[in-house]
Amino acid sequence: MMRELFAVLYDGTAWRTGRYQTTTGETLRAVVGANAAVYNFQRAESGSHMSTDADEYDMFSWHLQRLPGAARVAQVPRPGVLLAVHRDAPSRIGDAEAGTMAVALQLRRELERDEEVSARFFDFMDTPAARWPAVPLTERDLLVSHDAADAAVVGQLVEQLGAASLTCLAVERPVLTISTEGDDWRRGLATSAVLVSVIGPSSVDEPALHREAGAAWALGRAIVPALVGVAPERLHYLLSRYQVRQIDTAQARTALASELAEFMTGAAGGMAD
Amino acid sequence: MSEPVGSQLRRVFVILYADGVRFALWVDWPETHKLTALVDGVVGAVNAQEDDPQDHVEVRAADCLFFGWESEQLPVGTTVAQVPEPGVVVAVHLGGENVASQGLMLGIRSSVMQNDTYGPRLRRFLRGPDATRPAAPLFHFDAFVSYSAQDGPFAASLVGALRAFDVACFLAEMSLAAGRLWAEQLRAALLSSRAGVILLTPQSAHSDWVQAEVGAMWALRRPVIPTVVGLEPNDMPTSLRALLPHAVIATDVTDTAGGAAQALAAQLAPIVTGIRESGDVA
Repeated sequence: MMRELFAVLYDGTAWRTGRYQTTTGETLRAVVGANAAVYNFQRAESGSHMSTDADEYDMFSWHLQRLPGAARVAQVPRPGVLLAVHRDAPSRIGDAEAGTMAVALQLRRELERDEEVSARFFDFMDTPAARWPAVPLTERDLLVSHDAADAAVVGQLVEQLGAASLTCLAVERPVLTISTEGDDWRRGLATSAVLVSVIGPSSVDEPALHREAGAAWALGRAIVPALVGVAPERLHYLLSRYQVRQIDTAQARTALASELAEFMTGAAGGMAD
Repeated sequence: MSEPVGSQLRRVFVILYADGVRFALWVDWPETHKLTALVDGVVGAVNAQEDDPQDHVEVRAADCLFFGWESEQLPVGTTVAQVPEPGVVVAVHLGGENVASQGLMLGIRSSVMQNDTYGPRLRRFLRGPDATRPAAPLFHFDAFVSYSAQDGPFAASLVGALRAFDVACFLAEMSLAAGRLWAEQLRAALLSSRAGVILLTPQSAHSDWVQAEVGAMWALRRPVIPTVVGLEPNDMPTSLRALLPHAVIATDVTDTAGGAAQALAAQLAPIVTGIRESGDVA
């Protein structure tokens, strides 16, 4: 799947702005490197040069959310604007604490002020690309929640997820919310885009299962009930509203990993961004 | 709704009305600040640019009512992140009166749009990306009441009794609108509630749906007030026992139709209004 972004690179002396179309699975690090390389190619005769090392830039969305270099193009929040500021770029509003974020804020203002750039920017804003429903911007892709009894099958699933280039955290679901384990689990959910709830015979009737589903539902996370030796009919209430996947076999686990990889690089559809 | 990483500023359009429109401009402001801080800050900045003290705007945000673009009044404690789409705040200084009519709001909108300076500025803001940024939900309810359908009459009595203490509650049976997906409405209500009151009774203690709502409040980091009615501590499921030290326990539940609900409301009201007044909810 392809997506168009409006990319802005600034290194303290020069800036490059423009629309950039690429695959949704591309990392932002690659987007910044490619844009800098295009700039250098176009300005080769003038001698103007921009660093192509993306790790030297801080990246932000239009609303100044910090974007990790490893984030994918699919995760750039609406309206699909990527602001990349070289860490050596001096802050033009003189706020040392704000650093590159202050420069990003200034870039936003320049985008609207500069006559030529502003026209191109608002043209982009009028396209459907600016309304593309982004996949949630989180630290990792998946939280795999499970009981100790299902640890072996979870280990195999995590291997498959890693092979599909997905980042995940596998944790045992806490029995109590008011506990250190509960806090860790909640933080894990808050920083993951999708909850994969592994449900085996030992956990299908546990109250904790409904609590974790309620937690993910409240945060607007996608929930994938992944069943091991349990029939879908045994799910109740909230969980029965979600499409389940059986993961009893290695083939089924591979298929789920592949499906989730596609999900994480596609348009989010009904998911909130 | 994902948790933004490092999001700090939001651009909003601020209109101040005090015997006429005093200013209308956009600012980039910390999302977590309350609207009173926003307006006081903007007034200070506007005055700093004005050489003649006679032209200063002498308005305190604490004396203003706040509205969104669609004329909806914004509750006390609303933050910059909660300003509804399209991100326009109208601060109205009423000079002693405490009511702003629909007509006044329409008049303010109209005069800003027709003003030679403010009009183009506002139209440009409304066309830009900040006008379509989803806002954090406003708090319409002081408490979301989680209960078992079998306890419906008692829950309704309790909510009615809390209303007498000026506590606004969401109760699914009374508040869900017909014709809409109930799960989505419940989720919206949870997001719009400052706290959760969980009615723990012999009927609800083992309810999977109550467990799901407990999980939801936990994930949203809303204060939870466990409220035990007619349930012995030993009958509490292990998963909920950890809530007991924080519980409000109804002592007399023989008169479930009225008296017990009122007595419980009297215990709960100061806790809920305390949460509202502290404004400490995420």
